[in-house]
Amino acid sequence: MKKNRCSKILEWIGPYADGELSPSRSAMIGEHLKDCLSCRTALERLRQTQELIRQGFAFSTVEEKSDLEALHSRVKHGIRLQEAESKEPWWSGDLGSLLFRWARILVPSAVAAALVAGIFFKVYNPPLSVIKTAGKNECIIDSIEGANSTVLLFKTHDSDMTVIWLSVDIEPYKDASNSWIPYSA
Amino acid sequence: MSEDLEWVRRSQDGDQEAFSELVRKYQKRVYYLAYGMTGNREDALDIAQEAFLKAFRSMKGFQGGGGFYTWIYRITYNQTIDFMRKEWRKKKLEYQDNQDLTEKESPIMAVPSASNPGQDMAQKELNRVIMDAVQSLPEQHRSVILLREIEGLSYDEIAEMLRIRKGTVMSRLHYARQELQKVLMPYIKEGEIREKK
Repeated sequence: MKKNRCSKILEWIGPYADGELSPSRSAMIGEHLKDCLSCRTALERLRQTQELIRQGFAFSTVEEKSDLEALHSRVKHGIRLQEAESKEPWWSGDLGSLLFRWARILVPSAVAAALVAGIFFKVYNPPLSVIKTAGKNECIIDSIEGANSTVLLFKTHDSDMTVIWLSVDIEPYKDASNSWIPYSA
Repeated sequence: MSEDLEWVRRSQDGDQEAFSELVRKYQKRVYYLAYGMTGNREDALDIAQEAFLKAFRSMKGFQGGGGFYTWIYRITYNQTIDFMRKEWRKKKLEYQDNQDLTEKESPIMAVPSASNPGQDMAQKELNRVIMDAVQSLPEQHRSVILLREIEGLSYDEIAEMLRIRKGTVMSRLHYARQELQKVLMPYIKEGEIREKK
């Protein structure tokens, strides 16, 4: 019977030592401890363990002072750096470097794509008459080819907007005497 | 606590001196928490520094509920856990491989007593045993024991900081103390207990 009671008390011995129990429960445990050597022993072991842990983390005063001074000045320095960085122009910060990194990829890619498209149209010279009859919500693309230029007509189905793109062939011509004539519009 | 609120408010307006007061007030406890978790002074300094800088960056978003100290502890704790996950195994191996070196740089220092070097050595050895015992606890139990024994937080404060239930705090604390007691039993003076009838 006493053993059962002791095991219950031992469950609460930590919170009792820490002052975390209600006054009534604390008083009840206090009463039990007066008459129970084994529970008193458990409590004293716990208190010695707590004391040893605190001792284990004890710095010398000199070291604690120097570490805390170092910490304080490092934090102040870090804050000054952060503040200085936040006042720099956006392009010198993370966003700027991110955009710069992307630009290094995107710009050459766009140039390469334009070159490939240019070569494709130059080499294959696809017919630009009616390419497709557009359905609803699609573009109507039409073209008129002349000797020196090509006109493309873009007309959306739902609106009357028309975009005209004049493509000019800048290759020079030869006249009757077989001399090169530069192109003039 | 009201001075905390004032310093927090001024820090949120960008007053670095006010934040500096908060650092001065809590740096010791923040540092000890990081040190207790890592067992290394230099790492603890790095973690504590980063915790305060992070707090300063996030100051505007701090609502004030729960108090600044709970908030800065939580940041420190999370910072420490992140650090340990990245570094702990490596540090541990270095520690084991370079025990002589670590001895010279040991962060665990006894209170100096020039008149009794033998006692200093014994204390230093005991401190090492204690530190190793704490470090050998699982992360969850180590944090609870440090917050209770070193930081002196109440169960409610620990529960709030670690976002666990109070009952979980009690059970983790119970387990951690039992584990530490097993290791520290040779240093517990049974005679003193018997005399305290």
